[in-house]
Amino acid sequence: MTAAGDPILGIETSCDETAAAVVAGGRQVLSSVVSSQIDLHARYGGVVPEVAGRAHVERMVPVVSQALVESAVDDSDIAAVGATAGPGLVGALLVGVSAAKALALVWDVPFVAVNHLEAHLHAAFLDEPSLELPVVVVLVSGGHTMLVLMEERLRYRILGATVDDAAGEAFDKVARYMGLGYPGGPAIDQLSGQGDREAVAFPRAMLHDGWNFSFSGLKTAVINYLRRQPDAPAADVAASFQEAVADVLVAKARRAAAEHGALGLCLAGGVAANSRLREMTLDACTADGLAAYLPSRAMCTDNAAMVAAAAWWRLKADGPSPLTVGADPSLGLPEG
Amino acid sequence: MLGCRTAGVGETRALGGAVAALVDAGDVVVLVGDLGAGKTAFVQGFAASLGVTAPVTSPTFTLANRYEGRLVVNHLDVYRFDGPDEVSDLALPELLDDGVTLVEWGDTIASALPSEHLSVTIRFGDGDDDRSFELRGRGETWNRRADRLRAALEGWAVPC
Amino acid sequence: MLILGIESATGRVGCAIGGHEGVRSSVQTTRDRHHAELLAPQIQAACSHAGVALQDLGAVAVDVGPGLYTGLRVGVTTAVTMAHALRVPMVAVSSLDLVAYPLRHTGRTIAVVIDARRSEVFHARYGCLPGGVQRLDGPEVGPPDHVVSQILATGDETLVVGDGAERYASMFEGLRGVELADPGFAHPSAESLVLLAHALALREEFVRPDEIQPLYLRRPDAQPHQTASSS
Repeated sequence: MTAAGDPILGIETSCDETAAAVVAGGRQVLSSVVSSQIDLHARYGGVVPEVAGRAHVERMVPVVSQALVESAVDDSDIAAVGATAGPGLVGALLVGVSAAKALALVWDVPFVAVNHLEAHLHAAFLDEPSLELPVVVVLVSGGHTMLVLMEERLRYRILGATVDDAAGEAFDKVARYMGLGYPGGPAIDQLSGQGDREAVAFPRAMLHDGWNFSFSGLKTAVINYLRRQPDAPAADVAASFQEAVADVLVAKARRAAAEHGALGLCLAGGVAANSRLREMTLDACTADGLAAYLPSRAMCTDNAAMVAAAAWWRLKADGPSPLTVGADPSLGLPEG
Repeated sequence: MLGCRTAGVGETRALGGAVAALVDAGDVVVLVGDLGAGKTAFVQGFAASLGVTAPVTSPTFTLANRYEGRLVVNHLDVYRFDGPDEVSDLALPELLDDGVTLVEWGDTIASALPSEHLSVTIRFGDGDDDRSFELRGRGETWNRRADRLRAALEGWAVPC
Repeated sequence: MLILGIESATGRVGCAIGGHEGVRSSVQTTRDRHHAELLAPQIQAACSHAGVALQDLGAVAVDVGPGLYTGLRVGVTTAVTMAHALRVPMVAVSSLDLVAYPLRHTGRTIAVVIDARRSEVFHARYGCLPGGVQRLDGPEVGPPDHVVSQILATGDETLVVGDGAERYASMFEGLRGVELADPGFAHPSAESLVLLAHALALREEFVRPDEIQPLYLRRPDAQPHQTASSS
């Protein structure tokens, strides 16, 4: 049985990132290493080869080593190893799962298969340990957009999701169309600061209609608008687009909170870093008497600390995962 | 080569559905077209026609989505790739055996895809919702289906 | 020195533990696409059967490919991570070398043909030497008829082996001087890996975990895009 303060190594390789982290007691982040955000060459004296693609295989050991070194936890004190088993890209997931199982075998500790979406839900708690449930979580990133009612730490219900494009993807594509560079979300965020968010009334698809989202029409509307009015001030277009996205996300979230008696709204995923979305969420929460949970930038994007936290909770609730668990690219959020 | 026109996302989906009726396991469809052209909408109709009930969402960030219908439908999007070297992340050779594979922006990784495939190019038309299509089957398996494809798409056909 | 060999490049996944006395235990399963589900439990079982702990290992050997992208990721990652955690060196062997190795007494030229999907195969040719095999050409990836042309061009008595040879058997049957090996030799085996790795370990042909990468062999930018007739 894992004791309260036991450190768990988490590994995340569901898509672009190779990440590892050590978290104690499911809440205290001792280290969090994300391959895109550190210079592996500098730390490893050039032993990480220049390889194309996501290079999860090549980055896995350096990232895990770095996470262990930074945590100052000895290998022999790691209580369990968790890894994202899905959803995600199968070739990527296989690397994290394989590394985690290998370490679990060598160190003779439990292996825990973690759901990437569930891990994002746990990310909020790493910044806000006193978060009070139930909350409505708006999980919104490049690859996912969903509205989740989190009733207990390990009990959730998906209320709605996107039927086409994820919100983060809409940001990225609009930014690309406007020539704003990558990543698109921060570029639009910054440009919007100088624009009039009411300049263009872009469509708010399905605003009052159920819990699902649709951003493909909005993306096309912005593209069509720019094709017809290429001289429209970019800042106004950006601000108006951003407003349309945030509007729909917050409107549905607060309606969900009211309907389900949630105590707060929580943002999660890469788009949670968007300043207008955060501002609108804060305003809505103030107006509705809800707590607002806005995670730090580090906890918004894919990382392994959230995986280690989720692993701790799952291990406590369900015990170790069998070593026969493989990668599942379509893994759904376990609803209880 | 076949030319078609659609007026609205619903028709683009229906066109995708009509093409799906002709595919077999191992087939590859390459979707070419600018942002907003309707590549994902095409796949939505295509997948629905094969009995996929799950929402078909854009794989731009996930890179590959997999759906189960009468056939397995692999829906890939290589928009975010900087070059063909990233293809190894998709485990493509193993994936292609699986069912039918559609690749959005597949022209950018042409060298990694089978030379036998159906290429579908979508362009914007005059109205906001108008689109024009060019469908080109490459290879023997598509040559044999040329007449059936022409018949299936008759409702949207235009001379080209 | 005790060596753990991890084999996950083709449809047969497995591991073996052995040393100077030969293979002590091995576990393998031929079940396509289940490498991630099978390998770790196989390693556990092999240790248990051999009566050893992972900490007793002196090296970890791995088949680095060519082969399946998914299988190679599972095998190479597992091996590299274990070796790193155990602080032991590694031995890397190619799948083609491994398929040739058990046939080293045949006296003939060995053509190894591994299925690469997409109507292509990975291939290499070997000559036999005392105690082992020596690669004559390859590794390459291409259509199976290239392998046929190559074999016929050399005029050597050739033994053709591999899961690609099995898949395209009809192309090799009936060729003069060419024989298909028994299907039992078609897959690289973890046992051969351990035996071959032991020989390499004695010569201290080790590599560090960070020096190992999967050998996918395909270079998409170098692939000729064949023009097929269009309709």
